[in-house]
Amino acid sequence: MVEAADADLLYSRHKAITALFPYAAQQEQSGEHEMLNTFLQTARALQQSRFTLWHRIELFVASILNVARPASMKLVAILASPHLPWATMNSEHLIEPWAAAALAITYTDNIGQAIVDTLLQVASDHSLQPFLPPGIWSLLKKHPLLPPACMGRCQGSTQGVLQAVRALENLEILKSYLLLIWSEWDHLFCYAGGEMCASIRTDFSGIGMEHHRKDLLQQLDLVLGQLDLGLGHLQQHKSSLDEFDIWLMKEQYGDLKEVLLNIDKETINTLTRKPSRLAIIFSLLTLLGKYRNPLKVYMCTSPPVLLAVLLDHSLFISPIHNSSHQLTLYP
Amino acid sequence: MSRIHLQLKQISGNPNIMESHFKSIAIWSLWAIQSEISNKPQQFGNQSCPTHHEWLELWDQIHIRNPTLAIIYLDVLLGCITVKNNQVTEGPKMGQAMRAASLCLLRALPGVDPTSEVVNDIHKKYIGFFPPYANFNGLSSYYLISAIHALFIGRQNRYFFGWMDYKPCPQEHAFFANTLVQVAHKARDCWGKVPRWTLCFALHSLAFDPPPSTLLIVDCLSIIAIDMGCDILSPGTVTPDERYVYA
Repeated sequence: MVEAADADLLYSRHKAITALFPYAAQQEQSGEHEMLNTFLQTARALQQSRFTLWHRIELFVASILNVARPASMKLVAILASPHLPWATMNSEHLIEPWAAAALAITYTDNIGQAIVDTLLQVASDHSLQPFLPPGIWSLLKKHPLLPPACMGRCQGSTQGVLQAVRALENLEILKSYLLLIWSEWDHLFCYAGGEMCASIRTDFSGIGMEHHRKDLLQQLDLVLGQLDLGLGHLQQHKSSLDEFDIWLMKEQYGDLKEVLLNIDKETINTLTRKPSRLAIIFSLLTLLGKYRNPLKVYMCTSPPVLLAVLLDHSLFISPIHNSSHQLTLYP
Repeated sequence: MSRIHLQLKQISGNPNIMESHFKSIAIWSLWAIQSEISNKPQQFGNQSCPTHHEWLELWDQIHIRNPTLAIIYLDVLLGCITVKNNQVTEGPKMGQAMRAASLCLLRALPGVDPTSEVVNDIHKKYIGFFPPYANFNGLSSYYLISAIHALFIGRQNRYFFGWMDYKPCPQEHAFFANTLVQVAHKARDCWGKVPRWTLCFALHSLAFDPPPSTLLIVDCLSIIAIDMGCDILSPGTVTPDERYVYA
């Protein structure tokens, strides 16, 4: 078993470990899985110490992601992809074939984990992010369970990645992204915290977003609950964590939870305000003799109109003029 | 051409060199030179390029304990090339001789006692001839010469080269791999580390499609194992297809 604690030793051997990769891939092709499993286990230990494989692996990865290679070979490349040095390799030409292979491969938890880890790493590099095809982000919705030491989740909370996900204008993907990176194993990049709060206020506020907010709050409760178990508990799974990490995570996730709770409160206030306004309107309508039993009533704030579907299915539309608490109706 | 004759003359005139050793390198060099002159490969055994077995057999003939021969291989190599403004160029029809001398030198270097005076002599001669940033682009034996250069000046000058286009005949590839195992072993003993260009060679060779021969795979894995701190049983104690390493 390779332990992350052997960081110096691992780093001094990372070139030798990398050189074994083609052999492990060959063995996998011959149906012998032990070598690849050992290789991946060692690569994960490297990753736990924030190291990657040697950049000289680039040519081999490019060759196995080649269109003509069998799917089983591409699977090997996908599984190893989170451990590749994307930032130091000449990676631009690798991203498109990698994404094509990732979208084509049969999905499993292991594969999803590797793809999402890699996706977030690549997205965090501003020079590589433009090469990612938009379709690849849909894999976030599969919600793979990322391991405690995950470079993608750690790097994926930067402002640049958040902006890229928001630019997709897909709330499901945005929510999935947040659920993936909110974790007791990693704090958020400082600059992303403010942007994230702003995103939540903008993207998840209002009526009709309750189920999204519920999911997000549930995740934050889970994360904060784990953090409350203390450093000792978490260090059993990720030894690099320290007291500062725990403090920072509690602050960040606590802030996010507060933002979500505030949005909920504001939404409830809006909802409770509406009937009272409607009550005023209908009282006035009744007084004016214009009121008939409505089937449904809608109030639109922009443009400010009142819409009532009456029992005979006729519509009642009236502009609302509301200034200085004085409501004027124009039937 | 005349330079090679001169070098061979020097070798033949050196009383310290055993006759058999001289014969071996002379045979190899002459074979190489004749191949160049006739513009077609000379028959060696039954094949145009020696088989892996023939390479090793040939090496057995010239595998010399006498370290002075490393200087002679270097002399032959230097006789084949010229250096001007860091650019190294090979003489006309010197390609094969240069290749033979380079392989011999590369093979002989790990056998030289690092504490002996010979090492200093070889080193002085080498750095007196090649500038640290010598450019070997365009040489037919680019990879062999680069490997030698990396051994002589690599550690001080952080010289590194890749193997992107290295596609030799299988026999030479296997012989080279076998030689680099010795280089890796010696380097680890001397410097505590295997040169990264040897690891790059292993990575490049293992990535061949289709995969290389089993012997070559064994040698590449040996280079990796040596870097990982494993000891490999010396040849003769195990059969070639056995892969025993001690961690």
